[in-house]
Amino acid sequence: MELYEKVLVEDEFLETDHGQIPCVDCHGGNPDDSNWETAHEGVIKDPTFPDASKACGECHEDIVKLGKSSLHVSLLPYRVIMGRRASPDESVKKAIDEAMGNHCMGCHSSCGQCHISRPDSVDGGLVKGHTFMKTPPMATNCTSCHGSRLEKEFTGKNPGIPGDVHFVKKNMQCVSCHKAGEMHGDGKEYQSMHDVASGPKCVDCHEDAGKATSKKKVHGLHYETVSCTVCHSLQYKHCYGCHVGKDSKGLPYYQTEKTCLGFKIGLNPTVTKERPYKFITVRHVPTDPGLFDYYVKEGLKNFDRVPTWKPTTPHNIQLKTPQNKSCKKCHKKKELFLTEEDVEAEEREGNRSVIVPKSKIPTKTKKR
Amino acid sequence: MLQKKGKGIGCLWVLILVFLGYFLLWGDASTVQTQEKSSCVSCHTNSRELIKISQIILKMRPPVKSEETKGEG
Repeated sequence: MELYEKVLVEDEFLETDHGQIPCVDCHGGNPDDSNWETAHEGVIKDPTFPDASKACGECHEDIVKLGKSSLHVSLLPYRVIMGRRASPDESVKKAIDEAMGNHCMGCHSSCGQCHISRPDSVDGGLVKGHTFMKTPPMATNCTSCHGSRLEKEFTGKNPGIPGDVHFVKKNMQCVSCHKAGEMHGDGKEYQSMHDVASGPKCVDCHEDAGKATSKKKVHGLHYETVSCTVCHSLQYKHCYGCHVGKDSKGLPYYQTEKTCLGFKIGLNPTVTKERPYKFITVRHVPTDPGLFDYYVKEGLKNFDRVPTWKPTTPHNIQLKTPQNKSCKKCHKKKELFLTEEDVEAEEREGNRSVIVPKSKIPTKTKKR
Repeated sequence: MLQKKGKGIGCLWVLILVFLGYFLLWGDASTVQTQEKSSCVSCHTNSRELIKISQIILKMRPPVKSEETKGEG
């Protein structure tokens, strides 16, 4: 997208309700100044971040109030996880805060970066000439950030792996499952996206699959033992060894060591009423003990407090998968499970809660 | 007869005043819009102008991203 296109306002916007509000009310600047450089002094590119109260709150008070708790805005899980991993030393914490500010916390969204422009983290730019979009488009506003893993899974861009049946056959978009309530937040400060009460659940549509009395015997047998994705997803992406720093010009960079496709079933580290499963799909996230070495050596002294193989919901759902063809395709299939050999020696301690001991790999098949 | 004619002329005047008032007000509103257009909107809806300015900006501040970024983010 060319620079001029990013700020080109379409006449259509001026006909809308939002188009009646003077630009200066939200963006500031000096509309009486004929010099474009000085006219833009003090201009706020995104008046909806970090606080949308002034720009949006006057009319959308309730959404704005709750919006502060949206994980897309707060990125709270990142802070919580890094907080657990970090050394308690105050100077170390400060260095990690700086590093996260430079490399991690820019990956957020806001009212404007979903409903008006592309997110800043992908260089922004108006999507429909500043016209407000009630529903953010998937390509410009969801997968522009969630591209490397989710988009490739969902749309079938990983070599040899078909796209998600919900997209390929039903043309469902992200918002078909991830509704406004989840995106906007509900006022609670969730420490993990899996805890969000209004997050999507397969049984919201496939109600019968989540019952002991399911018409499908296999659902009745497994519905509380394995998450849906254990049986219905394909290989997905794992990333390793992320390091961040600044180059000789002072520009921030990141480097990841490797990415690969794979499918791994791990133990559910946090069994809850909503997620009672014993087995779930797990994904290796790019974090690394030396992630912030550029800023502070051994800053993540307590790295092992949080697993690097994390609960995941791969977005390439299929009715039939290699592991659900028959009982034997999963039971006794050691290679499907995250065992100690799959985990790097230095990461084993941190992943104890998700590693499946050989004794726990299902062998026998139960009969009702 | 004359009275009726007088009433008719009166109504005509009222109508003329209403029309004049409407057009004057409408004119005022459009002036307000034009004033708004004259600043931010007139430039940001003009692609030719924006291209010109964006070229100046790009010369002044070329986009900079570290070449050391590697791998998937």
